[in-house]
Amino acid sequence: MTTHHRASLQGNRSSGNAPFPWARGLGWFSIGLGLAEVLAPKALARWLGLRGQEGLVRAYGLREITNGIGLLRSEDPAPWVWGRVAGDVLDLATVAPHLEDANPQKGHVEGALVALAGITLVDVCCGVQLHRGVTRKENPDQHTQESDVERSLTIERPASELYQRWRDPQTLAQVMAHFAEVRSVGNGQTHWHVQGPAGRSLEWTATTVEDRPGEVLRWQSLPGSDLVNEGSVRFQPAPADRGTVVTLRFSFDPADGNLSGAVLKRLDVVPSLLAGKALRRFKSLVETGEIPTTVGQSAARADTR
Amino acid sequence: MRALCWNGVNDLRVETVPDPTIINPHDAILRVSLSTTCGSDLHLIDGYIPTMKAGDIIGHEFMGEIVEVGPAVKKVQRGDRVVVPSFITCGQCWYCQHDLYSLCDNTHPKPELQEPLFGYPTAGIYGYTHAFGGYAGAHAQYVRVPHADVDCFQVPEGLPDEQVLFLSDAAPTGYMGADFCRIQPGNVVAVWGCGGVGLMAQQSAFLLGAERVIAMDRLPERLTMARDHVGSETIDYSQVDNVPAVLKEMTGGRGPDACIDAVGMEAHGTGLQYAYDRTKQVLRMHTDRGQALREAIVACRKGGTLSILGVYGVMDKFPIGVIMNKGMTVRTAQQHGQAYLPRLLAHAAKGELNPSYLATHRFSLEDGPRGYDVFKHKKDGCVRAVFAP
Repeated sequence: MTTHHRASLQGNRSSGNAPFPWARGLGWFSIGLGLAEVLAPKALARWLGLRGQEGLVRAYGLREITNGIGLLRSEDPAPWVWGRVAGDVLDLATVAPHLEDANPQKGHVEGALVALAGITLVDVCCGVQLHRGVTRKENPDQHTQESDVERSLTIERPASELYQRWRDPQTLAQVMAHFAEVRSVGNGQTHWHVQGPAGRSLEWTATTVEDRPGEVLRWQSLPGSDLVNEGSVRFQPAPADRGTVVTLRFSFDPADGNLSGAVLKRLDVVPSLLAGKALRRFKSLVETGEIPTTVGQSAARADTR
Repeated sequence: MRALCWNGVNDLRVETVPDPTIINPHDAILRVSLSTTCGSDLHLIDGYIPTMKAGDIIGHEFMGEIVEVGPAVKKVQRGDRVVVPSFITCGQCWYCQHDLYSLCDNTHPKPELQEPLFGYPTAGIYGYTHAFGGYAGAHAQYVRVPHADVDCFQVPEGLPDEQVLFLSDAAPTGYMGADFCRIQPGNVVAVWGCGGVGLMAQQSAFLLGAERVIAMDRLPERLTMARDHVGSETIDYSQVDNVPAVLKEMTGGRGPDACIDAVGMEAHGTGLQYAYDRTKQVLRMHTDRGQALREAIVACRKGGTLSILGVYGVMDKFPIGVIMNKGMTVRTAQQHGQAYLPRLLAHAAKGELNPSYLATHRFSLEDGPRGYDVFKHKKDGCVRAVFAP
């Protein structure tokens, strides 16, 4: 069984804004270059052997400044970055014809062309990055399309011990505490209560449907649950002294199509993170006797994560 | 209590925060006696390492006295004077049992922040971003120490605080870096950087049997320290054209047997390469200025060892082809302090290791922001600023 949650929540969050600092950097670069062109067009034209084209240099300077301000002030820098690329092409087209042997400043022209080519590359890269970021942002919820997930983790304990610990209702309550309030209601049944944002909550009772000591436990929600789901945990020996491979599977979507996916999305639950985190919590609890946490620690602002 | 808190890029403030409490059964609460700045803190302060949150207490190199222990703490007790390595470790998992403590499997409360980038979560660390666990740091009057039995090391009587403080991070990091070099008789070890970690790496190389140690920096006072306190030969890299060529001459054309990078992502340097790195870093196009590391790779002898202690992000322009063709061994890690602390405390007790000279500047905790300013800009010959709450 495979999982399709390639894009985690975190991945989306961290990549969305990443290229904006580039855009800001380019904005300041534009303004700096533009000011130089506007304030010292003569010197620049002389340096490149473009005598008599001071007016053009000054106009290009104004273009740079406008573009720079646009980059810095705009909420969506992408069009301004592409504006820069267009300007780069114009600059290259203007400077390139002066790369002739007759020009005494040929060396300077060469240098300027190399610099222009470099900055064009940077602009194009930035534009492409921004474009990618936008494309990603348009489909941020792909991960909720799938609600069937399996994760494995190796734990340094024998399978028999891990099986026993998982059956202990207290252990399950601690391991799942980041997701649901779980309590034993007898007969091998557990009651699950998930508190979502804005007062939304879901409840169901799960019953054990398969129990092979030291090997596997499988459970299913009873009819009438808010969220139809099933899950299992398998214990298999790991090589050498590595303990046991524990595989946790959650399926929130066995029968009712996309409904569960939508419910999970409302509750801000990402099944792949849920399973991975539950396994890590279980591992820490059985290996060390506690689950690592920073909730309730000192900080100048409350930690809400 | 009072604590030094990160509030944004280059914005540190001393604030009143709630006292720490026992949260997990193996926790202890320490009254901090001394804490110190580390070069790696500057990456957070300058904003090159993400996932800090406004209000986070920083600081990961410290010592103190235990004032409270959780119900499952057995070995250490109230009143113990202890030094604590920067990484929080459980002592139980496969990594801890193989002395790879900073890779501990059981102390990262937010692995989902780190797994997308690293593939697997590392151990948590005090005061060093939420990607590294988000634990409250030690520039404070009190600090919560999880897994106290594993992570608190009792200080032998008679050793003053200043001598022990740096056994929290600078000394074990440097010692590990030298240990990575598998030093043989006659070996020459070159060390980039004469900050706290670099000086400790140099001293450790001698403790582990190096014939000669050659140290690089650009600050005269630090080069003097390397010569006077450690016995290293030194190169002021800002005064030579080509560091690898100088090293080659100094080693009879063989090259250093091992090179230790104790610099990291905000390396200073010279020339075009430095301008390139600096520009890209300012534009946030890459995280690292890697001149020291690239130089170490070129300078090292064929088949030698590159030991990386500097903190890096995801560097581009990394000359892996040079490493491959020269058949080099690369060793690197965040410090596995718990594996080295007993040895280091023994060296300290015998008088073979006394890093107290690193403590060039002392401040009250209330002066924390000024302490970091002096440290960051290396004002007045500052190597390390030490805070006494």
